[in-house]
Amino acid sequence: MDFDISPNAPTPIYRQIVEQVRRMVASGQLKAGDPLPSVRTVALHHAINPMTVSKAYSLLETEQLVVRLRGVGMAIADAGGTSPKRDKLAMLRPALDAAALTARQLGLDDAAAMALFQTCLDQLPLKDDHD
Amino acid sequence: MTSPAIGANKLTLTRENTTILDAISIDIPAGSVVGLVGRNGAGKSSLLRCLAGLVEPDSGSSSLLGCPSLELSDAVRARLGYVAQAPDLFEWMNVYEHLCLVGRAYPTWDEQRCLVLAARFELPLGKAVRELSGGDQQKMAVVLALAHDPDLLLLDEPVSSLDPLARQEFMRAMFGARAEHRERTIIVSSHILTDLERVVSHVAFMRRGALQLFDTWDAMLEYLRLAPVDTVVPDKAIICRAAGAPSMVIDIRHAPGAASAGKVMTLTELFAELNK
Amino acid sequence: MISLPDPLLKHLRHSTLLKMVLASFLVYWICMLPSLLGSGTSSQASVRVFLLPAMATMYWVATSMTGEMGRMLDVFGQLLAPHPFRRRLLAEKLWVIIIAWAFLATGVALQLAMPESHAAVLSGPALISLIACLAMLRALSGTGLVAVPLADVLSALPVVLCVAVLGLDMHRLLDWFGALPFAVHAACTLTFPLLALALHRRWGSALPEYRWRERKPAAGRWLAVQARRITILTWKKPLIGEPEKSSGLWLVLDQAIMVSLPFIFMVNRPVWENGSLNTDRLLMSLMMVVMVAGALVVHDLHWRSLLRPGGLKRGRIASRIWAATVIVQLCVFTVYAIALAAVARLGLGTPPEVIFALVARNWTMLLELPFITAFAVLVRASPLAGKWTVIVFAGLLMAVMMMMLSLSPKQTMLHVPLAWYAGASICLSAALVMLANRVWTIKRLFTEVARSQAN
Repeated sequence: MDFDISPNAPTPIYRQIVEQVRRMVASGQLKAGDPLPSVRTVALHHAINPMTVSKAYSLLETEQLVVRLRGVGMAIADAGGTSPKRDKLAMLRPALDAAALTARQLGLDDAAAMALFQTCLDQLPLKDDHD
Repeated sequence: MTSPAIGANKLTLTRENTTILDAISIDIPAGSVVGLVGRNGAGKSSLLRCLAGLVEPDSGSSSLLGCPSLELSDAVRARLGYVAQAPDLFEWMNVYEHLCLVGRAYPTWDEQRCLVLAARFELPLGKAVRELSGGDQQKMAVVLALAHDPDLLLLDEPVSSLDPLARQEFMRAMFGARAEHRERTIIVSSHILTDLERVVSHVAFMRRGALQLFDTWDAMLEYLRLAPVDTVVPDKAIICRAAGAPSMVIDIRHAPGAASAGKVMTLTELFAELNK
Repeated sequence: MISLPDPLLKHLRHSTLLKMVLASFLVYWICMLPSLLGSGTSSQASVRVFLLPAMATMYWVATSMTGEMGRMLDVFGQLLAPHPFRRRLLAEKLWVIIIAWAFLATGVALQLAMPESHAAVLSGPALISLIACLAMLRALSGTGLVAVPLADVLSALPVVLCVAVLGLDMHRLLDWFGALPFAVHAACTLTFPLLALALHRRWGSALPEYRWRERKPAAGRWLAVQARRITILTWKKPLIGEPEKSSGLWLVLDQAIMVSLPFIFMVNRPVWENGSLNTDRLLMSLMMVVMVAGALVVHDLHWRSLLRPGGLKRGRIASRIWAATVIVQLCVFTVYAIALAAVARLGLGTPPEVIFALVARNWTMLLELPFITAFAVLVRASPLAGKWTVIVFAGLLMAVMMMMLSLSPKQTMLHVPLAWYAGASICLSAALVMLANRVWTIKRLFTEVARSQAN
């Protein structure tokens, strides 16, 4: 499988890769267990920086869309990304813990901190294109 | 924090009453690919020469891999590759002799790998260097810089004479097979911005000897926008506004509300804006 | 098969050098004839003198023509030229060698046939044939046209010949050879024709197939490359204008001359000898400093040296210049000594030991050269080293020297033991180099280069 990368588009290259993988998984083109091409292959084919591809794959791994299989490389994760909600919440926990600690240290009250978090969530659709 | 692979501290260079470099300070982390962008005469070549230690700056200092540029140790030189704007090779030798002559000085040079690289660039090994075309001579300079698998590459317009396929080959060769833990730091000065966009991790903009802007390219894509001049934004958010221009470059980290008013730029557009 | 000599003459038309050499032999013969008709032992010597150049010419012709055969086969083989064409070209070259052989052999035979010579008539042609055969075989082994037995042994041939000519007493050797029985001479004489015939037969039927092979670089290529890597910092433009354009050999000669020019005035008397120091010679050496400063050698003078491991370092420029200059000086002088020995041997018949003893007497030059060069490097570095300062310095020294020359040599000698002299030379050289290291800058280096190319 091959990615369709436009290096000169306004979207960063890593973002393009991430979104393509997401789209392909959502539409069923990529099924659980399908391997992704290696970082080197993609980088050499498109003449781009391997670190960019690496970054994309790491992001996908964080989102649990792909897993690293020993001996195979990156492959689509089972259950195509629909991992149970409680697992996702568990992944969010560390970031919120750090934010809570910072809020406490700054002396902010809970309501203000929660309002800020809501603002951040509201702002997100700006950076993310259609999901 | 690990020391930066390339560091410069208030590098200044003046020649005949013109400022070529104006107190440039920059820290380039290891493993990054920096695109050095600017108009002709902005000082890109001079900066690269000062970093390599070929020219003594009037004040300030620079260092490569922790070693001062003017006193590069043999260990650092062995890990360094430099391509100058004009190839400047030994013209009377043939390609093979020249590659071997230069290569033997480097402990990490491997003749087999060097010849494979030369073959990828389609260099005629038996021809005398003076009979090579301009593009071939430039390719040879690139091979000379890459043949010993350097950890640090300083490239001054390395592909200006190359056709698009050769340029792609060059970009692939830049990221050649390396062991996992060994990073290659690259600083490339080029006018072919579309090529740079594919490979850079950081971009440094230079104008009239000064460093205008230096950040990761991903950050620039995410946070810099081209907004109309009348958009209301705090002063901190304005990166660049030319007098009389209809638009300006803003940083939406400081002006979150204006994010939708601006559009994302390509490297070429950003370059144009910064040099207005 | 082999065509008539018509294409041969065409080739001879092109090879003017060969024609010149053969013509000069012809002239020599014609001039010799009248003197040969008279008797005397001098004619014996003149016959001998002719033999060696004839053999050398034969060697040269055989080697170069065979080399050309090999090159031609490579070029046309790669182009997949038709076989009859290739055969014809090979035949042309072979004919040139045959003609040269016939010419030289006949000439030598005629000389030896003169009543005054004591050697057998056929010994001359025998030698010529042998040389032709060996030279051709050696060159063939390098071209891959034919599998030659004992190729490695043959490749040492030129070295053996040189050593033989210089080291052995050629007269006795030639006498011995001339006294061998007729059958031996006849056999030797036939070697070359047989070889030519064998080659003709073999190539007539089947030309060797072109096969790409690893080509060894031409002998002397290494030297030519080294010569070009050296830059000589002169006061003005060197004899040969542009090193990139001139051929290797001329460049090497030119560089050698430039480096050795300052020392042309060194006379037979060394500076230090058996415990006594000749002060006037010492002053002359000091004068050399100025001239050596105009012939300093830098190796690989290029900005790439600044980036290469082991290349130029800012605090060590002077040491590099000094080391490169001294090495080149030593090489040049070694070559001079050998050349001098060769000329003396061939021209006057002096055994090489005499020459080498003469050279060995001047061994103190090994101490002087580094010292003079160190001083010269320092002089060149200082900004005051304009031409005028140099001339003034030289003039002063010359004046002092002339003053000393008016005194007898005995009066100018100082007693200095060897250890002191050697120690002082070495310490002073080291000190001067270290001082020069501080003074030389990259800027100065490149300025000097620009100056030596611009004037």
